Amino acid sequence: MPKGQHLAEFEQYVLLSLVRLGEGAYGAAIRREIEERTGRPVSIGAVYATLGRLADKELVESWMSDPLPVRGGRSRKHFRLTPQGDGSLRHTVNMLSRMLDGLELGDAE
Amino acid sequence: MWRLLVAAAAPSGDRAAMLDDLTEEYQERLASDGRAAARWYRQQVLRSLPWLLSRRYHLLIQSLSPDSLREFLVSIFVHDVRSGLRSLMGAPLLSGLVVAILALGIAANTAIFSLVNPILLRALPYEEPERLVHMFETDPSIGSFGWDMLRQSLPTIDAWRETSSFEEVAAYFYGSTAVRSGQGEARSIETGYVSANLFPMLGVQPAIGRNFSPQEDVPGDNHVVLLSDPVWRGQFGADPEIIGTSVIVDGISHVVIGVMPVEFNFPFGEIRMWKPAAFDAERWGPDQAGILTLGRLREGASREAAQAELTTIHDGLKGQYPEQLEGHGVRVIELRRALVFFHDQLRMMMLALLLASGMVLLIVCANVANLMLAWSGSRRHDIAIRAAIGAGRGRIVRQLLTENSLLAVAAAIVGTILARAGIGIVGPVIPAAIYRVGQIEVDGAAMLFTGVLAAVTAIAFGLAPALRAARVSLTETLKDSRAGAAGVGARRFSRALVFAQVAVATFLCGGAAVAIGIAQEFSGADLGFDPADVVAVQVILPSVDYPSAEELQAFQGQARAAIGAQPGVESVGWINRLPLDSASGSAVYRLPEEPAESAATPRRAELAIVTPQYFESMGITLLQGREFDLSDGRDTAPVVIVNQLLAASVWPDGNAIEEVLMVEIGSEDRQATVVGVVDNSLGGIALTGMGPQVFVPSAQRAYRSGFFTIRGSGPPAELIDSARAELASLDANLPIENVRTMETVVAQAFQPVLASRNLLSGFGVFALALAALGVYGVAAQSVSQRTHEIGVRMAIGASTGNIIGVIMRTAAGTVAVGAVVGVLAIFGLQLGLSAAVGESMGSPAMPIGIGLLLTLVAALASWVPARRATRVDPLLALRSE
Repeated sequence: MPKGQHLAEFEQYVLLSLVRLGEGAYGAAIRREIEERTGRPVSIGAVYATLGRLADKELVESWMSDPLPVRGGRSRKHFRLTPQGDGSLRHTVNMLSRMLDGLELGDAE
Repeated sequence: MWRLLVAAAAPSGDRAAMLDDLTEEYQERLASDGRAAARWYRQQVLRSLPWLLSRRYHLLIQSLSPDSLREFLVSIFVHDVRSGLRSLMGAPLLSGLVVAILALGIAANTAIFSLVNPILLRALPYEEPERLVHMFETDPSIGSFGWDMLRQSLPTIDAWRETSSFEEVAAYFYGSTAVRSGQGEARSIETGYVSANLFPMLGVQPAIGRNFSPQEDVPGDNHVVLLSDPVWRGQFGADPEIIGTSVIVDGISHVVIGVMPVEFNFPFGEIRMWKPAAFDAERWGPDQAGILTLGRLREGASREAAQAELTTIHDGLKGQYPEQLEGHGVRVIELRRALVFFHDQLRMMMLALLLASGMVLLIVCANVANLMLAWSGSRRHDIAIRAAIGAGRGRIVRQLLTENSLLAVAAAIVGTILARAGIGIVGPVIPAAIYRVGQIEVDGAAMLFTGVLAAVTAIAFGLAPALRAARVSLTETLKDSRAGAAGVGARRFSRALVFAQVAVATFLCGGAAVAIGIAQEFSGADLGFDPADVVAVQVILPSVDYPSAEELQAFQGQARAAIGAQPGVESVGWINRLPLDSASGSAVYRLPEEPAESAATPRRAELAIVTPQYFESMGITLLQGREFDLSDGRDTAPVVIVNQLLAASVWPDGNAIEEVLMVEIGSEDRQATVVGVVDNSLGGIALTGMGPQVFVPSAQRAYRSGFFTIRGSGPPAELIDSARAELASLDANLPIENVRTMETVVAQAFQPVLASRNLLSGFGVFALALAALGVYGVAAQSVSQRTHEIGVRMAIGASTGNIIGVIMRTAAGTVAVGAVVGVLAIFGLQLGLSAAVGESMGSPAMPIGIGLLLTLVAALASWVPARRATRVDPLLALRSE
């Protein structure tokens, strides 16, 4: 992994939710996913700003879905990991699990 | 509102998707709990803002990186400019018209700015000019603010030097001297007499040589001069060895010690030489208040504090010199305000000119905006097609703005050239004697001003039409086969522009009419004298050759006799101050029975010293009594001649002859008998108008400098030649420089008034023409858009008159409202000016007349396209659909 590609906490959440949501990963779904899992309020702006930044680093890419099958249905802007994004996420998770190896932290909340 | 906030903050790429996501979730929540959903939406927006803004900032920084910036610039220059040029070339007539109109507007503003800059704006070319001030004594009984300022005597200045407010106090006065170099002919040069510390205090060094030394600022040792650059170049051929050369000043040899820098002028441009004043107590006693004083404030000292301190000192002096200083105050003003004569009046005039040229620019912008709007209307198809194949709205606006900028750049170039040419017309507004910093010219600052103006106008005339043009509805425009069908909004906008043009143009024409009225009043046919066939020759008699009053008077007599004997000469007079040429002296007068000190407001008259035949030579009518003659001598009883205004105010019953008048001339209180009453005539300065006048015979008060006034039947050149020859035969060393016909003197005096009148009139006519063009444009557009409708109307039997009526009505409402607003504004201007000046400023008929004129012109402008509308062939019109 190239230097300077360190992932911030919220970036990790966004990337992980992309993995979790797969084909269904668009703005509102990502926002809800992170909010429900972390229990923290998450704004749509934070999601899009972070996705934008990740796209700049070429870790994610977007694609437009077909219009929804209703009258006037819109196309959604979906996001997915790029191979670099996948690698970067794996690297971070590996590092974290290596650091956690053998530790007992107990529950935070 | 919340939605707009997010939309504004979001980066353009994500905006739509994000708003859709927000809406989607909001609607899901709305189904369960409306109020909670609204709260949720609000919170989402507020929490999103910092994220979005920081993202936008990041993107902005990124886009400014050298690579992307270069790409952006290249895309503008290579692509936008090229395609902009192409589309402008496609409409050469319109582009040319736009550039011409803009260039005229920019030229007018640039020229006026170039005029104002050296007089009011450019920093004084002195060291720390903000600390330099001019001090005056004031006497409220003489006049209102600005007219009440007096010079000082030496004791006053010496007392003023002892203050804590000033770092340095310097003094000066000025006058005419006769200067001769080598064997050349003598010339009269206006000379400044300065204390040795004045130039160092200003922080000015001569370009060549050195400043005066304190040792040279002593009577008897002060025979040294500094030359101005124009004198050095003109009279001494820019001789590099000038230092140490001797010149004869008023008959005494002086040594040239230096040449001042180019464009240095102090206290104003006509002073071309300086010498040490060498003030001494004998010559400048308490009665001789003829010195001007200026000073440099200490670091941190304020003007107000200095004035307060000087006032205290002055009040103390009053115990010592009660006669001279009673009732006097002190005023300390900024140096520029003191040096620029009539500063306050000039500022008003320049403000008026700036305002007028600014209005012209407004009309220009409105007009060009209208033209561009019409043009972009006819390009809707092009634009729609470009949008259809993927050009974003921002891209299209940028393209249109680039075109506008190209037009503005072209206009700025043409405008600067025009302004450079026009500065000759504008320059004379400011009399040569007014202090200025540098020249009246289109300089760097003016170019910068032009650049800013051009940029502002490009946006002002271009942005609204560009935004409007870019907001095309693709489907409708592409479906609509008629080119040039602008929407209702565009029509309303263009009418608003026409309304603004008509209103401003009406107001400008009104302003010009007021200015013409004022100018007419000043340059009024009634001078009180007849300048035709009169030549004025200035003569200054040097004190070395003519030390006594007898000698001065003898020379005047001999010269008048010699010139008068020449063929073609009808009469020869002499006066110390030529009317309309320079400020005249004044005297306080009263009746003998009134005590000298009693009057709260002493009556003041303009004082002139004249010889016999003066009134005859100038064509001033003698109403009662006689002119001065040889019987009025040094030893006979004092006599005076007064003008009709003075006679009527002092002796309302109509007979002034043989009455006695007390006249204070300087410190002398003279009891004189009135021997004649003459018609009123203009005195010193054109703008002050006619006032009471007292004339004293030169035989009873000698004067060193003055003007022979020669009336003759021959051509002026012959009169001038014979006068020169006669004067030279009497005294070969006499400087005879200033020889003019009286008609020239009058023309010069009224030049500023006439020039500003012409300028304002020019602005008015230009505004009128532009407004007409604007109205024409709207009417023409409406005809071309309604061809179909007109065809239908004609097909079902509308008459020619009906059609003309329909078209003209579209413009009429707009024009009428604009004209009414303009007329009301002129009324306001008249009322304001009347209140300020205290007399009526033109009749109410004038604004109404101008309103009608504008309406008439507008009617004509809309009649032309209306007339064309009637030639529409119904068949063709209907088929065009």
